[in-house]
Parts: sequence; C-alpha cells; structure tokens
Amino acid sequence: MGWPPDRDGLFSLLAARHTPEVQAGISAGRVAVAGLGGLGSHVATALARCGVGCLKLIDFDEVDESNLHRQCYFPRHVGRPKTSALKEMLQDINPYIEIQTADIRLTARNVPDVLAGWTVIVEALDDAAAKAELVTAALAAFQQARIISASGLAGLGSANDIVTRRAAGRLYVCGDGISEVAEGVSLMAPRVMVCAGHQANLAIRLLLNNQEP
Amino acid sequence: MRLNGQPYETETPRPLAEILREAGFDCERVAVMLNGRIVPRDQLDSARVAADDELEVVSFVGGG
Repeated sequence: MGWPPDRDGLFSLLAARHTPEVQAGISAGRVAVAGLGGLGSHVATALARCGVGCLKLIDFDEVDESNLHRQCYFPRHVGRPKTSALKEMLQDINPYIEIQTADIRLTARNVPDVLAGWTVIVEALDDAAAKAELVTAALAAFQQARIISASGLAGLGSANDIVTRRAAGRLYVCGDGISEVAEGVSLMAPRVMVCAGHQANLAIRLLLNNQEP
Repeated sequence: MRLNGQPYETETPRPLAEILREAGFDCERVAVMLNGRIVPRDQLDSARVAADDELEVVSFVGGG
C-alpha cells in the first residue's frame, strides 16, 4: 500500500501487530512528555510509533549539534525548536495522532496550566532540581495524574541497572537512581534509550490500566 | 517514623526539612511524600513529622 494509508488503514496496521484490543486502548490514550532531549525525544518517538492518540510535547529549547550524539534529531533539525522538529518527525510516522506542543520552560507555577488534564505525564527533564520541582508540582496539582520520572542514566554502567520502580502511588522512577551527569560521565545514547524505553513501556502499560511497574 | 521503608531514629515532632538534611538529602532535588501525600516545595520547612509518620523521599540526579 502507499504511504500514508488512510486513518483506518494505519489503525489496522497497528492493530494487526498489537492486537485490536490493545490498539484501541493505545489509540485512545493521551501522554504529555515534559522535556524533549535524550529521554523525551525517544519516549515520544516510541509512543508515536505505538499510535498513542494524543501527545503533548513540551520543551523551550532548540536542537543543537551537541544533542545529536543521543537525541533522536537529525542534522537538518539543528537550530529549530525541538517541539516543531519532533512534531514533524512524529507526524511523518503517524499523521493521524494529535500532537500538541508548548515551547515553554516548565516551572512549579505553570505546571497547573500546561499539564492540566494530562493523566500520564513523562518527566524527561535534564536538571535534578527541575525534575524535583516538576514532579512535586504535578503530584500536588493533579490528583489523577501519574508521573513517570527518570533519575540516574548517565555513563556506561550496566544497562541492567536501569529499572522502573514505583516510588509512591502515582510516582514512578526509571533509571539507576545514582548515575548523574558529571565531569567525565556523559549521557550516552544506548543507556539513555534504555531508560527512555522504560518510561515509554510504562506509559503504554498505564494507558492499558496496568499500574504495576 | 519510617524513611523510605526503614525505621528512622529521631525525636518527634520535628521539622521535615531538618530530617531531610540530617539524612543527607538536598532539599532542592527531592520529591517528598508524607503519609502518601506530596509535600509542596514551599511546605518542606513548615511541615512537621510525627512519630507514626511514613516518609518517602525520591532524590533526583541530573541527566536526561
């Protein structure tokens, strides 16, 4: 068939692989991704490939050359806002999912507005204090939201140390919990993608009403 | 009281932020749940921990 198929055709393509029941749950799903760097760009891509019905992509930044070693952008995207570059790629993968964007730096003050109505929220920020601020603000503002955060994914330690744990009823944390970016310890594509895979996997599970990590 | 599932020896009641610092946490890099409820950042100093309380502290490191 030619690409893209029509809406039903693409749904059928996905349903044939995921099963119609699973696909119905995924296609009805909505996920917000806060941060579109190494984690967020890969999480959003995985969710788009699955056919999640609606994504909100949030990042204030532009694609930089220094991002290309681990983020899913291409050289042609350098200088462009991450939101629009990523949205373009994801709509190419699936023209029928709804993609909202927000070119904004998330803070405790704007979380209640920017993330209102999103019950699955992926925290994919870079800075430790920003992570803490976002997670705290989102858990406080929204009684129904589940937060999938990340902590500890730098370096070349074993990928087997990356885990998903449920830290509290509505807070999950992916990563090894300790490997932070430091002098001589960089984020590297494979380990970043393992952690992003953990986050995306849990997002899909939550959309299908499985709350176990 | 308990901290991350383990008994924590301390007099109570006691300011939450004090316990966090004593336990080695950076108050700028944590999400804190007191008896299952998230403690807003601006309440870390004023919240008090009592003898039967359960504290869950997630400490974040940079990178993403």
